[in-house]
Amino acid sequence: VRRRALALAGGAVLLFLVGTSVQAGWLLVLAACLAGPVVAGVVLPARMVRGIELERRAPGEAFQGDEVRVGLVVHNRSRGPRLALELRDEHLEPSSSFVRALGPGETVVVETHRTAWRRGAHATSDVVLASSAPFGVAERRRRVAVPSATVVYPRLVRLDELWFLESAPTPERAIHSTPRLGTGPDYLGIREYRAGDSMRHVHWPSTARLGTLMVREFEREQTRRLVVVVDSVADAPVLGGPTPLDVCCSVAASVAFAAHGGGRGVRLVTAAGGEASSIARGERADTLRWLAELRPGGGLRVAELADRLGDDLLGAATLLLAMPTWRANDPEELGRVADDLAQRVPRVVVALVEVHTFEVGGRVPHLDPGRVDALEDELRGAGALVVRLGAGSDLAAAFGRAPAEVAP
Amino acid sequence: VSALAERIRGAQGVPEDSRPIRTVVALMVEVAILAVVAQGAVDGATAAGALVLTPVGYAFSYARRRRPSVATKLALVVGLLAVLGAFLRAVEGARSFDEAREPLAALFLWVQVLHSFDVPRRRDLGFSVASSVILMAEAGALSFGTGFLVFLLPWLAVAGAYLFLTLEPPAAPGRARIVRPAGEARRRRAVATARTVGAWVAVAGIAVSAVFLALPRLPGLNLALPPFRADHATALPSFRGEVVNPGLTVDADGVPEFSDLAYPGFSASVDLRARGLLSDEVVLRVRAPQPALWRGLAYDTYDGTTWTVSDERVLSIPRTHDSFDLASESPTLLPTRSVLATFYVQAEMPNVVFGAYRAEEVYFPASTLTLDREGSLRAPILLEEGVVYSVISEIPVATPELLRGAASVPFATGDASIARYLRLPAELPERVVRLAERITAGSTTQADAVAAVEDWLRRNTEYNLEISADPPGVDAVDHFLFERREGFCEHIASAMAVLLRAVGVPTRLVTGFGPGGRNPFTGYFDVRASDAHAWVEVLYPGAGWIAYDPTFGVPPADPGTAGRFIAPEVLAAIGRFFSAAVPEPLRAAARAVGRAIAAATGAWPVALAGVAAAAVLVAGLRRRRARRSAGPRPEGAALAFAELERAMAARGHPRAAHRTAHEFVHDVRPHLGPAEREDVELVVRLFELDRFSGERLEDDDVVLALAAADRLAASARGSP
Repeated sequence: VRRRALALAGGAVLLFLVGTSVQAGWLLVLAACLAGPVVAGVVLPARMVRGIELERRAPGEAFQGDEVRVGLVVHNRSRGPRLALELRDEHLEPSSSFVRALGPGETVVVETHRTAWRRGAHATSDVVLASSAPFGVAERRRRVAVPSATVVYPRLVRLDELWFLESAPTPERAIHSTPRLGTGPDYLGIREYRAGDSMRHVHWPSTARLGTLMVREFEREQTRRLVVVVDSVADAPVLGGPTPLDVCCSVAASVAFAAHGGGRGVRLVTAAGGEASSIARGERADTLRWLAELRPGGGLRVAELADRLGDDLLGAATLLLAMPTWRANDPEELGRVADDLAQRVPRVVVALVEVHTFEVGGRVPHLDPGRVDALEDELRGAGALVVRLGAGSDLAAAFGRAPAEVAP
Repeated sequence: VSALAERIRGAQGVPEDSRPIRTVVALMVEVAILAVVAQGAVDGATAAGALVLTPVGYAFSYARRRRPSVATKLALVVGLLAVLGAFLRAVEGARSFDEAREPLAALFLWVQVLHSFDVPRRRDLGFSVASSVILMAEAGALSFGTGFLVFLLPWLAVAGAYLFLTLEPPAAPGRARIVRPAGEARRRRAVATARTVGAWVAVAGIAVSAVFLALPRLPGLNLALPPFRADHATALPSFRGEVVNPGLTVDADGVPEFSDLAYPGFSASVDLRARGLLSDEVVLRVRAPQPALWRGLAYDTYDGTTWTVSDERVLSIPRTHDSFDLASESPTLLPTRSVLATFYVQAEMPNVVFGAYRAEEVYFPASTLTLDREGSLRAPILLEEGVVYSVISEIPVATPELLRGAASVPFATGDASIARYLRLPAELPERVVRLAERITAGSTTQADAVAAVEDWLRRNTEYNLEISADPPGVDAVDHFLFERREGFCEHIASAMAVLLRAVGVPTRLVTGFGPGGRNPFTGYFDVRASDAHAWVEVLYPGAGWIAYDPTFGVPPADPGTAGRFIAPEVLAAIGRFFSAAVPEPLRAAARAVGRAIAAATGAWPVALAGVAAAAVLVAGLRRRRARRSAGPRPEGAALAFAELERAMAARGHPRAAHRTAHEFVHDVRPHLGPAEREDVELVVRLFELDRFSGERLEDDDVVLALAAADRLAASARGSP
């Protein structure tokens, strides 16, 4: 029942009272004319939401912040018209559209433009079909199952030049002095076939020459690897925009793609279910999907996650830590962590996503600006480079040029 | 000022761009203004100004909906203050709401006119709609007749359109775009929509009627100052309390005659030899919470043909403040019910002040009234169209038990004031007295005797307006009782009065109007000239005069719960209409069916079986309708395709109605194994060939298609 029903019923009661007081019969007629639609209006909308078939046309993938076109194909398979239909669809973004009239057997396409505000795999099922025709006093709703899936990747910013990769102070520390077996692109030699070897690595000329199956051996890839650690311990709802974790993912995706473009290996690490979880050498789509599906509540604080990095740091020339300024990220503790990481990786860069700059809904425990400054000081003191990012910061600008003190 | 201007600008909100919505709102207001103007509630200048300026205001408001309206608002405030000042000046000295109705109507109209110049948002248009409801209510409250329907019906139509159009949210940037395929759908949609709107109107009409019939008619407030006024008052020259009935004529023998509006009973005497018919013209409209007999004059002396008043002295009653206080007239020991009735005179009438018995307080537009000894009121002016007066009455609630108790108190012996109500003509035939004694032989109380006489008259006499004249020299009552047994209210009431006097019960003859028919819409009792009536008052010691109407009965003083609803009256009227329209054999058949249903519902197994049979019948009809609407049963390749659809639906892949067979294959392919895919493609290919190639399929092909469909159906069932 909508507010209009109350207004009509209230008007009817008022007219009835006045009509009775002054014994004016027409006022009772008017009272009935206001109350009648309230009674009829409760029953009539039921038919309007029956016999409707829906199909959703939504893109399979999108980037966070993109405006995408989502269409709803509405078909009336009943013999009567369907009037004043409202379609409420929450796929990607809550959207409400109104179809004034749909004739019997008629099909229309309702095209909407929605912004993919939320990162992740959006699997939406229902569209709510509602009508309060003809009087708008009561609404009848029906849920229609219309399954659709769209993966919203983190916002990707083109970063042409990554100063913290180019200016690694001791690149030789990133490369082992003796070659090791591995799956890198560099050829190391040939040997006899062993069970489990890929047939793609069979070296046919040697096999023909020696009469036994020979395979190629490769040097372990020892490129200057970038390790990106994303702090997924928490997140906070933000009114109409990316959350701090979204910004971390966006940083991770943008930097990873730039590093890939420069021929560098990239490993992404985060916490999931209280354990470190990582992805390396994946296709770009896999990287994006991994970041799209990264959820808060990983169960490990940055300090705890850093302790578990272990082999993830092998061969790493640069470590990028993308972390929001949650209160759990204590400046002193992180200073020690950064100090430790700097012992293991030539360059440590920290992208500090300042939570206090976001319009977060509700109270979330985050560092106030003074403590963020303290955190930056601690990190810098440990030799880390710090990039501060607020809500709406331009990533290209933030990562496009080096801070003066670290410029090569 | 700048802060205020900023605030006003901020409150502008999203302007309403919909022309249809603005048009229906303007129409609603315009119709409501017309309705008020039609009731004559405002002067010509106000009417013309409101009717012309309101549409101009809406057009102006639409044109400026996106512009700042600070200047407009300031101008409107000035205008509002001006009309308020005019209103206050007009009502200065008004003593009642009734006297303020015209200035109030003008105020409403001018406020509406001013408001129409500043309605940028939908919300403002909503205020206009509320305002039009108020104007319609005002017009309805002032309306006397069903002519108000001329305005109400179009207003309801545009109000319905407003309710529907405003279901669509206001235009907003980034709204969805509706893409419709071109084709004939538009015409089909329009036809189907018209049908649906018709059904909505019917359902809403039924709902409105049901609510209207269910609304109780409760007593109104007794206003501090009930309406009374006279637009034109014709003063009676040298008025001394006599009854003046200007339309009354007499025939050559000096016997009064009925004419269209002049009832001979509203004069100094009631001559039972008078004959004729009155018109059905409405002479009075009475606003009252319940029906009552509107009493005019009473007569105590019967001479064999004529009733007169023996004592013609009258008492002049001065007005105290606004009303005439009659409460000092002989009190009654019975409980009473206070009823306020306001009389709106519609045609020229005698100078008799009608009202429910017993009038306690009268609001009448004259400086004095006269009261005769029978409690009849006469005015020094004629009752002409435009005269309005109100009477507050205390109607005795007389139950038979109370009256039996009242009658046990004896009259004072030799009371001269009682004797005149027992007097009979010396020439009254003895058989009248004997008849009275015979009728009341078994009665132990006065109330029983009265009831016995009333009952006898109802059973043994007929109401007939077209009777012949009495032979000369006969007693009118004797002739009515023993010769003709037919007559109209004067004869029947006179007979009752005389019979009761014959057994010692004091009575008098009363003339006035019957309650009239209550107009279900206006709520007024429409009293017609032909409702002029005569009845009897019986004097009970201690209780006073109690009305009896042996012709039609007296409306109950306490209508009770059932009497508070109009539905029985309306349903009875509808029943009478249909009963008059339906031929007797059909009515008899309907009665027989009704009796059979009543008898059947007495035996519950029969009723249950009846309901079950009806349910089976309805289900059968629905199935038949569904089969017909589904078209002919498929055959050949079409049958195979139908099987395929069923099989796929069973597997959770129903074909949407708008998907072609080819698209359907595309939809289901990913869910099928290789063999099933081949079967599906075979069925669809043959179905399309059959449907679109224009050639008949070979029987072998049909067998192939059916076999493939069977395999798919078996697969869907999970069997090989």
